[in-house]
Amino acid sequence: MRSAALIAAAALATAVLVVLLGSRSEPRLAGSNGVDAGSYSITLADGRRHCERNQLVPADADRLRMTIASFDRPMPPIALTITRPDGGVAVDRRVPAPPRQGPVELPLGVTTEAPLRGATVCVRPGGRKIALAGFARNARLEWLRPGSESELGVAGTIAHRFGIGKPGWMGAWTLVAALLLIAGVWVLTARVVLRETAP
Amino acid sequence: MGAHRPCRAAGDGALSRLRDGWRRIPRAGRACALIALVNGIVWALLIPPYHVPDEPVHVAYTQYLAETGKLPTHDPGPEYSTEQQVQLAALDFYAVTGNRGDKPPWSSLQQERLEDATDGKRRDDGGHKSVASNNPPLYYMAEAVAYRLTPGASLMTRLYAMRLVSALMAALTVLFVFLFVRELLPASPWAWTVGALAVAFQPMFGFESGGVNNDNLLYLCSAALFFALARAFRRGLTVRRGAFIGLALGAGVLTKFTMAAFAPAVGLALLVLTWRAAPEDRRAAFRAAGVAVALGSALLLMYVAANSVVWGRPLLQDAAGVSTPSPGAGRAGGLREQLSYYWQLFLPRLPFMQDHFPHAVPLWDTWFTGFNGRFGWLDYDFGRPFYRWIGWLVYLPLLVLAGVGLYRSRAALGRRLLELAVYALAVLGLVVAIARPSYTTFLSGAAFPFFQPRYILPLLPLFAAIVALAVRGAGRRAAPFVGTVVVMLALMHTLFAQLLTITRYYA
Repeated sequence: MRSAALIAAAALATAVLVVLLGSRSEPRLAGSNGVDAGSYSITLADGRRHCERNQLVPADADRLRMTIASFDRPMPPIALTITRPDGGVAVDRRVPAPPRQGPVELPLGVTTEAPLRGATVCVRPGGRKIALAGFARNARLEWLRPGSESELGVAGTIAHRFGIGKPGWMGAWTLVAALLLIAGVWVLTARVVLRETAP
Repeated sequence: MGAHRPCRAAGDGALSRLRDGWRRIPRAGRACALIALVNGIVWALLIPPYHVPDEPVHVAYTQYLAETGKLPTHDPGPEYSTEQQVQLAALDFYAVTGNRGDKPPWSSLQQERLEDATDGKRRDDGGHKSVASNNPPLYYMAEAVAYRLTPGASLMTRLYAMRLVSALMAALTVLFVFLFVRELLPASPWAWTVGALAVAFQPMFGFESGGVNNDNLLYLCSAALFFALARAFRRGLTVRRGAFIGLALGAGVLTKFTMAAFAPAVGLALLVLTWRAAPEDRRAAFRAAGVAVALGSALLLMYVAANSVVWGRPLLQDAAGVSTPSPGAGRAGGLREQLSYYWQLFLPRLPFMQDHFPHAVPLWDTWFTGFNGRFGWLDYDFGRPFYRWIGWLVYLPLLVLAGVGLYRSRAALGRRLLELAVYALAVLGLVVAIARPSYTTFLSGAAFPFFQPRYILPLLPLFAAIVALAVRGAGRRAAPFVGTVVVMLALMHTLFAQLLTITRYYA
């Protein structure tokens, strides 16, 4: 009986913790270009443009996050353009000067509905030189989803992502299967404990 | 037709003996193994391909062996097949590994690229020097069976088939841990279950069991060896038990040379067991010890011969089992410095010792925090406060209770001091096996400290024994309560490690 109560308490505590930890909201990535932002590797003079070619702009992104330094002076406005492989312009915006140097979010003005492959992403400072964080001649690009979201709030997205980068026959159902197996582990463990501690 | 009958009869006999043996295992032990299997499958599903340490090179070794029937060489050249190379690139593996801020492919476009990229690519053109190419082949042979049993499948599907084999090995490891604790504490059945489940839910063990890595078979062999030794100490050394000891040690050495660290302990155990045997049984005990030595040596000799005759490799390849600078590569160290280094690698530095780890305390920063969860390519964990809390709230009471358990068993302890000495020698052997290449790396001036938390997992049976002792130390009335608390905490630990893994890669 005492074991049953302990198991119930553990299950309840786990559920509460999962809800508490899973409800914390923060900006969530839609994707990145995988470049390490280990240093300010690209210096960009006023008016000069830096482009990252052949980029994948993910779906569900509404802003681009980059780490930009302005040499401890106020940040200049940044022009952001995203060009499709056929030369068509997907985004062309002049983002007002961000409040401070460091991680900077550049709004796209739209939320991307589908992924765009082979895009060219360019930034250009207007009024002052800047430095972009990246590795060698590549800057790190992070695409963010709209607003702030909790982990539980993006559960559907997590399930979709879970099926990617795996064999083709796997899909979102794999996460459901894994969660069911976890539940199975709990049930099996509870049964063993109850049976072995029975008077 | 008639000639097949004896073979079939022998096969049926072996099968029925196996079935009988399985039935003789307490139901709780079988349940613990099943739980470990399911938990291993969960981990296999949660971890993205290749994100268990060194998984790419272990998959490469298996693929090369399965495709060509040969072992990888230690010559320079591509370590991966073309198929695996393009797969790793399509998975953005090199950007994601070790870099918490980057994620594996999330987009359907990347999935299409991944599936297209590997189509028709060569599978047999890897097999050159990697950190795994010096390993003996036993684990890879088992994995090659899984590889071959999924014919026509993509490497990705085969990787998951291989991961299932690792999960199965984890289940057997937990089963042997259960049986080991049963031999140690025969009068405390509940403690067997708690000890085995503490191992099944040990998060680093679970994480490893979800990936392709020869450590999984090493853990199985070491658990089998600890069980075989404990059984021989409790019930006497017979030829069959001697054969099991030799087989467990030999199979372990054919998996990873780290297992040789247990050879001195096995030697001591065989000496003690033959010396302790009753005069009328001594001859049989000598024979059993001889079988253990002969079987272990025969397996090693077969490997040495196959290296030379079949695979054209050096006799023992690189017996260190790890890719470290050769001993002469750096400055020469002294014995005093070496001992001091070994000590500090595992224990707090004493005041008179020169500080070899100025930026960390390995006992805490590597072994304790790593044991309790540092995942991926050591790129995500629970955060420092978590480890402090469980140190004080879980491990300290557990150790106190285990101390009480030892005190309560002091009469039996006196009778089993030599058995304890064997386990202590096993620990010492592994300590030296871990510290030696690390010290060589240190002498070479390399910045990378060559030790990882998973290296101590062959000692999981002793971890289970400590947990079981704690349950016993709680006393008969409190044992069900303490054991249930331990199991539920371990279960929660592993669940949150799995949720952490989901957020690391998919959120």
